Amino acid sequence: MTVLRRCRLVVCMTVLTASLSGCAMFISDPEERAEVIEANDPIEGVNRHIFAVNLALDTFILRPVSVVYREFMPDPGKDMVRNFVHNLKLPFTAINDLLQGEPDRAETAMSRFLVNSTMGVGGLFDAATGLGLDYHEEDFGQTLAVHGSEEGPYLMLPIFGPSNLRDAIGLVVQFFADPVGIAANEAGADDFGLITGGMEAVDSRHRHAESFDTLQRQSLDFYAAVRSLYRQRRAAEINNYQSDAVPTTPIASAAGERTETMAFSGVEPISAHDPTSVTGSLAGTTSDVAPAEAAPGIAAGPMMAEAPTVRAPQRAMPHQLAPTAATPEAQIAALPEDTRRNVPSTRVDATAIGHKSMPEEAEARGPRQMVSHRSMEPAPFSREPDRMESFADAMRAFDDAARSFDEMTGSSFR
Amino acid sequence: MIAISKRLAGLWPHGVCLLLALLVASTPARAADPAAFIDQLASKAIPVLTDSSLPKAEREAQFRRLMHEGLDVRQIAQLVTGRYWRQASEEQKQNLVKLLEDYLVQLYSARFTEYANVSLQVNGSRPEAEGTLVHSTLVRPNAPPVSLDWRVEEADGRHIITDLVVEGVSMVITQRSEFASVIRQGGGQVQALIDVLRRKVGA
Repeated sequence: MTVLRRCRLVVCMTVLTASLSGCAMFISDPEERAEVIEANDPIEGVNRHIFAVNLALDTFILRPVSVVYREFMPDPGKDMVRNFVHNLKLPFTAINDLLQGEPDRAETAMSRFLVNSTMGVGGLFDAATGLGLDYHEEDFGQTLAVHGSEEGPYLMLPIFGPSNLRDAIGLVVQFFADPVGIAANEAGADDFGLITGGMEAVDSRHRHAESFDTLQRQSLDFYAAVRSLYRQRRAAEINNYQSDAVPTTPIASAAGERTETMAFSGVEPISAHDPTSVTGSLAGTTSDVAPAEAAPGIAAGPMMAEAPTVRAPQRAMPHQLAPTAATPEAQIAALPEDTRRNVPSTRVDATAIGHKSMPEEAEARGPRQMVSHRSMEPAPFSREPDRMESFADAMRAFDDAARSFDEMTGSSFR
Repeated sequence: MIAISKRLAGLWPHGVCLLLALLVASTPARAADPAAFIDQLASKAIPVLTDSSLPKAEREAQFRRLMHEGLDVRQIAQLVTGRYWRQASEEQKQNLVKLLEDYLVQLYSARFTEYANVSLQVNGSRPEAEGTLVHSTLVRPNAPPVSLDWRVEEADGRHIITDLVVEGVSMVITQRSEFASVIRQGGGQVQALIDVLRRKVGA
């Protein structure tokens, strides 16, 4: 059974990463260790290869398709696609709401699902937002996080994009537990998840096209940029939940209410949701690898991209997005000020890496002599990994990835 | 342009008053409050950056000037290179600072023309362990607003920006992990980063 084989692959990867994740504590130089901990990427070599494969898929499949989609799909059609895909995520979101101890949000999600599935003609139209039933998303990775699970090592998943051990487990759980997927299976619609996953991937790629392309073009190391963005975003979502009430001093109205006109779109392309979501939203483009039912819900990108609302406390409802503003930024921005205050403390991190030593406890824990560099050094690339200029580049990326996987596991993956 | 210079001419008497006020005041006006500092910087950036008729070189020059006003590039370079900063020779440091400046100018100034009528709304601030965090929202027409947080510190009696956090993502952290990755792949040599940066900015 192909499903079994997929599961075996996931388990194999899981064990592999779990066994490698501990090596950071053996690094004797505290600053280097801080850097390794910040990257949280013990299997960087394999991850980079998979990233190259994802990039190849993006360049030669997802991006062209999304460009055609952008050109030829009329705007109302695009909205319908997104409404439809979003609607199907709601039952699993509701389950996660419940698991996170938020029955109110679960009720909102289910009400929305019922309203849009009926009045909204199977989810094609959004009738619920007008009734105050705003959209939000939950995934099982976040549920795990809420219950105290650590993120585990960073993982670049084929097709699904950036993730980590915890979120990858969340994907597996969703694969088996998503009611929509189960229902589709029961009904014999095996490709249903694949199709909706593909729709979501294309929709999301099109919505984030500029940001993604800009980031890809301008970053010095695209892989590292995506990794950092993913980790920060994910952390922000989870912390949002925990640090509801950071006091903010409102400034004098003279300054506070003044609104200046300035062209300042420069910040957007660097924001997190875009790159990762796109890389992530490769879900569904390659049919063979994407588990059928799971594909729509678990595309790492979209999930991550829109998750900010997710953990945003339930009271946020009245502020939340209108149908026109359903992009991630809007959702976050629509939240009450104090719920989305979670700003990484650069200064602290910077000093940890730059000048000061790590906490003593970490020091005390591990033997200091050996440094395992094996997983730190990315396997050498024959070319710039972030560039996919020809089809041959793409094929080479596939080949490299397969070879590196073979080397790591001693198996014959190819 | 003419309209602007007319308005500037109209402001002339006010400018004189302000200058006098500044001379009298014991502390510089801009050191007053981090939130006001961000607000002022934004308001200064507006006339320059919304002008899509400006040629690219001119806009870049203007942006560079504003950047010097708002932050200390050397400090940013130090933040984003982390532990590698101390390994670098003085010459490498100078190269890094210069290239980083060019890189940042390129990174940010090019996109300013795309949307006009964007507004930055400063919402408040919060004291941090070091410095202050100023919350603001970037409001864009026909697009969702973006949350921007500025980490502002005081140095030598003036405010400088030490980080920009976009929707929970710190630019310094992102840049630092990217730079560290480049250096590590270059065998731990700072020179590797300098070379890549140089290629990127085309200098």
